[in-house]
Amino acid sequence: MNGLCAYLITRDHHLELPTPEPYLITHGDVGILVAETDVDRFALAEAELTPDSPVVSLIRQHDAVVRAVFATEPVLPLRFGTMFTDRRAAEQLLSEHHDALRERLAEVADHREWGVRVTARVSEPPIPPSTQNMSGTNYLLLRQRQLTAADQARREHAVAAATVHLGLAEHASDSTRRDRPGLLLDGAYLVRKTNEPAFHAALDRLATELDAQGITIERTGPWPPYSFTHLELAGAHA
Amino acid sequence: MDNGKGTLADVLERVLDKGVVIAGDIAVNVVDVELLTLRLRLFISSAQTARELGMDWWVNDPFFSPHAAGRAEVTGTEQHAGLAQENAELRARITELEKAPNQLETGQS
Repeated sequence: MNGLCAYLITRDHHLELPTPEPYLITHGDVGILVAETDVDRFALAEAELTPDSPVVSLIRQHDAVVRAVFATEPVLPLRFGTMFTDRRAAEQLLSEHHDALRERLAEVADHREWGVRVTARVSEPPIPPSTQNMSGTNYLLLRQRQLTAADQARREHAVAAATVHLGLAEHASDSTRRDRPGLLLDGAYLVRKTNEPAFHAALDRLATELDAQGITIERTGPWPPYSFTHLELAGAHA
Repeated sequence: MDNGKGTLADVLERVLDKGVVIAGDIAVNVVDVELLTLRLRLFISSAQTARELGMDWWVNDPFFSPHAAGRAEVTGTEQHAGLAQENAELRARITELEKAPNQLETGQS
């Protein structure tokens, strides 16, 4: 069965894409990029998973299409696997949400997303070998000191994560962070291109400062604004 | 500090977890993204694959890897690895035993 696989929403404009598909379905100023796809291809999602399995290559393809358009135009990426039954359904969605989409596209225009991960390097102090001859009381005192130190480190880490997040958010138009075990910070920042030098300078400065505390900062990007779509479009189908 | 386009894990996280959602019957999502994300995470969490994908942050996290602390001290020989593991096991036991004196103090006061 064939359907229209939808990748992203962008402005109505002439796209320089190397292939006739995907193509843009437009309404007013906005368009949705689609490609005729055999829906069964997505059934492979239930198949085996390896770094080069069909589902992973479909996901990479989605990202590649989003990036290709993002290179020249503002985009709102769609959730992977979104399908329209036909052209009319896509046009209907665009007409129902035209103004909201145009507004959101204007907000992400000239912006790129950067990902920042903050991690603490593991440095648990080893127990001195002399503990074998230690009295129970001394041993417990030692352990108490170690636990206090670990508690202190946790507090310092929380402060460091907040410092990074607030320091970077200052240079971003929008920011978001989420909790992930093992990471002090998993943040995403929507940065105006003209603010990127200031953003990266702040990031470099923070990385140097925190390196002394055993904290590492990693950045990824630039990304299309995946983390800043903030939209759930309800289609009222008559 | 690393600079990069991001690992496969970063791509998966964004393409699957993020993006505009179209609800209702005007469009359908043919992929159970939640299930797929879950399955991909499980698949990725196979340690060897994860390291190749650059998603091995938990390897050094004592919460997820009880022997992580030992690993940091290992210099590579099997003897060291054995000692480190024993060390980690002992520490876990200590943590258990540590609770006892505290309870005792509370009981006395």
